[in-house]
Amino acid sequence: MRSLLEEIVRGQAGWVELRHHRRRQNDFTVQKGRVDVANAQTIGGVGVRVLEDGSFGFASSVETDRGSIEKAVERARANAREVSKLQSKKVGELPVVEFAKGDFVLDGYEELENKPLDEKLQAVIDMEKETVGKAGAIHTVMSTYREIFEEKAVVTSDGASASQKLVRPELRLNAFAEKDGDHNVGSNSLGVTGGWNCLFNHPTADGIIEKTAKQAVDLLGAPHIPGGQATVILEPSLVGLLAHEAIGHTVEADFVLSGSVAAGKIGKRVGSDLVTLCDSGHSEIMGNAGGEMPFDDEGIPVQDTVVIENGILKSYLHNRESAAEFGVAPTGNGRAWLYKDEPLIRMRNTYLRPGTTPLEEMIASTREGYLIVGAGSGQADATGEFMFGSSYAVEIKDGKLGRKLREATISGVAFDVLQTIDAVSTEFRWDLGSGYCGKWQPAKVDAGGPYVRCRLTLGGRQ
Amino acid sequence: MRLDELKNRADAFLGEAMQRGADEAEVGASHRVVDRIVFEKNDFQLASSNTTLTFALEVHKDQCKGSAVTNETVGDALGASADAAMTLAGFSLPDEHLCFPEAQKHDEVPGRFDAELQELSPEKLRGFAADFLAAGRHEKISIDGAELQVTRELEAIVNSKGLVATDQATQLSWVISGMGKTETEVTSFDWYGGNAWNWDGSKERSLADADVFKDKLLRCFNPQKGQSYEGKVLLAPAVLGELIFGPLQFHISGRQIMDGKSRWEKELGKQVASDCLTLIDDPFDLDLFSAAPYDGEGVAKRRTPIIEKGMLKTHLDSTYSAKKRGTVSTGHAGGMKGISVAPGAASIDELIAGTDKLVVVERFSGNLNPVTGDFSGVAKGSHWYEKGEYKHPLIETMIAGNFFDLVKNIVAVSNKADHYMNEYKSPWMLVDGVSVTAS
Repeated sequence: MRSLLEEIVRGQAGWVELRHHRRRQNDFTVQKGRVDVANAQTIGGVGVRVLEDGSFGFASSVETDRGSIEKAVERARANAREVSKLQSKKVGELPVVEFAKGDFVLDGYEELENKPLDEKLQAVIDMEKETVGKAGAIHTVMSTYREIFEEKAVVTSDGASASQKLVRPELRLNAFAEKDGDHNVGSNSLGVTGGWNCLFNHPTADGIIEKTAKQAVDLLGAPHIPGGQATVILEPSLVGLLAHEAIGHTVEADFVLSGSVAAGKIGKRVGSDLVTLCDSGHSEIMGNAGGEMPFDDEGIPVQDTVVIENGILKSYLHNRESAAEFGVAPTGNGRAWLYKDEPLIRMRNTYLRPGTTPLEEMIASTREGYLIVGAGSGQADATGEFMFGSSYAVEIKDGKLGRKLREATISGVAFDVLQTIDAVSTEFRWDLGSGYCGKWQPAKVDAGGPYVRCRLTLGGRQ
Repeated sequence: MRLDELKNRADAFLGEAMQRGADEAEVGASHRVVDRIVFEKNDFQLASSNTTLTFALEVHKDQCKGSAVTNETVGDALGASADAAMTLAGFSLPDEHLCFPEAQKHDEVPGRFDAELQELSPEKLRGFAADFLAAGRHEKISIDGAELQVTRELEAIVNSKGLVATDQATQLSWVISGMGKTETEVTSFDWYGGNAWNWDGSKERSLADADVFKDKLLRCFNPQKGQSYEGKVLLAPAVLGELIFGPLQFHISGRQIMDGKSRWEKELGKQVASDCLTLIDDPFDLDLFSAAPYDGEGVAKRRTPIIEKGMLKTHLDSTYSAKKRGTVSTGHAGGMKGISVAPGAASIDELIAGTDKLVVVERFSGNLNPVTGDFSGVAKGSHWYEKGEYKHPLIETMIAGNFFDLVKNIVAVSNKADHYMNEYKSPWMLVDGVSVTAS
């Protein structure tokens, strides 16, 4: 496919980007001894982006033959000319960059492709059955497995020509418990870029059945967390969510140009000395992060972008267009969900670098506070004010863990919260690999970090 | 592509499955032509065109289920997808209740197809976009993004029991998002938008929506912190989808009842909410963009009373959940398509006037666990009232509570019902017993 795209591009005038993307996805969901979902999905096509009259135009074709792709190029050109009549500030020359070249196949692709589907489904069936049997109060368990095989080729008229194959498996386990009219849900999920063995070697997979069942049952009858300001220790999934939602979105260059709170703050202090925050297309520190890729959907090799270094804002996240506008190199953050989507500035694997304080010591030195566990969904806005949900909280009193409390939503203003970080653990893990980020179109991302102690607001009961 | 051509291709795919030995099968096919204009970073950025053709197949073989979705149709691609579905059914678990609906007729819902939108020129869409964005601009607003989109959709559902359901619709949609911004202040983020089935009248509606967007943001400057208390809050229609309609739909779903997750399995005919709440599912309300003649498996939709003065009138079933529960389908494979809440007697001002402390919540950024009903999150774009008088916009204020308490504690609903972004129709709701936490 890459050679066909190269041939087509050679015959075109001006800047043209062709991206072939074929996604094969298998989904299994088992619940109450039933197979609710056993689905195989194949979606593919070619996305075409052109720059004409100072504007971008986009079109796509499901058919991948030469004639259909060339017709899509013409439609994209017509679209560019149309939007050019509206666009005030025209797009200039895209920066000269070093493109990805060659064909990349990430680890795990062939392993997972060769593993029989019936074995995968059987593992999901067994997991559901085993979890149900863990406690009498558990009445329903839902176990879900998904694997996404991505095949992409990107060719541009200014030199990109590369292909990649990678696979992202995910696992989710939910246990529903009831006792004396009180209901609760225990949930755990994980996702990686890699094969079957890699998925099950992830720390979150370790004892996932016992953890999920225990979480469902332990919180039956548990009190709600009280609302108010508190000292909290966030576990890695929540630190990842903080890095992604509260900081990551505000430093996406398109959002910065729209006026996010991070605008004009490069070189300024936005966090305590303990905060070094990065967004990487690789799997730093621990392997197989869920948002790993060799190059982005503009053909730019990915890098580890240091966004905040020792509390100082160092960089925004860029695609080629925004990099030209800011006069910096692109960071490899141009990503598209499907062939029919245009690349946008999106995060990949966002994380806080680990520190020097062991978790045990962090808990022992906390007089009063909470250990917050399990990431729920999160949102942040232009002001940097964020919120995200959690599975549960554990009280800390005089350096010791106490009773569990029901789910809490935590909130704060991102750069204010970063200033309150006074301890960062040595432990580290990626822990949002089953997550999807939403920004007009979905994106597969991961996030993580160490345990972090800070102060923020708990949205509990009065 | 024409509708009969799409239906014929769906039939052919169904034939592929039956030839491979399926006991029964169902195919859903859709063809969409979408033109779009994107606005970002305070300027127009991109125009795009996409044509998609997607086929979804479900097969049942020896009481086992498999399914496949594809947009590849060249050569024997559909045969390969049928193979994939049959393979999955081959090692799935048996379920004696698997079934598809019987052949049946459904009435068309007139007014959802417009020849002018079907043939809408790029110039007209460009003009529409320019007018919409001009209406959304303001010196104190930074527009983060906006999208204008025209969609022409054909749909066909066929199954091996002879069911045939076809539909054709056009839709123009618009959405705008951003924040208030001056040299010294950035407000909370917000958005607004809507849809129209027809070109005529769409411009006026989109301009009105742009005004709503501006008004929401311009009222949020100079926010202050509020007070912590437990008591009344006034919920705007924008937050009711997440706090009330989502969990309500969960607990009346036959599927959730089957799985033991619903708390309202035995509540039919009982009082589950305040008598201020009357809610119907009206899939023929053309002010809602989900209006449709049939559900996700081709069963005819009908106007369905859900809650009447707080009393639960029905559960919602698909063909499968109905068979499992020994009842009949209510045409709700895919859920409700026309949530509509009856308005009350008092104006919004009258609802506010009778309160001591009040947070008016216009956006909820938080989490709700549908099983437990617990929710907590940030009350974005919200406002503070004392003794019925407006004080100021709020910042860093959180609300928490429980869905089951919330619906019982509805004190009153307003006499004004909004079609919130054409998603559902609802008045504002004054509710008691909510925890408010100020930072």
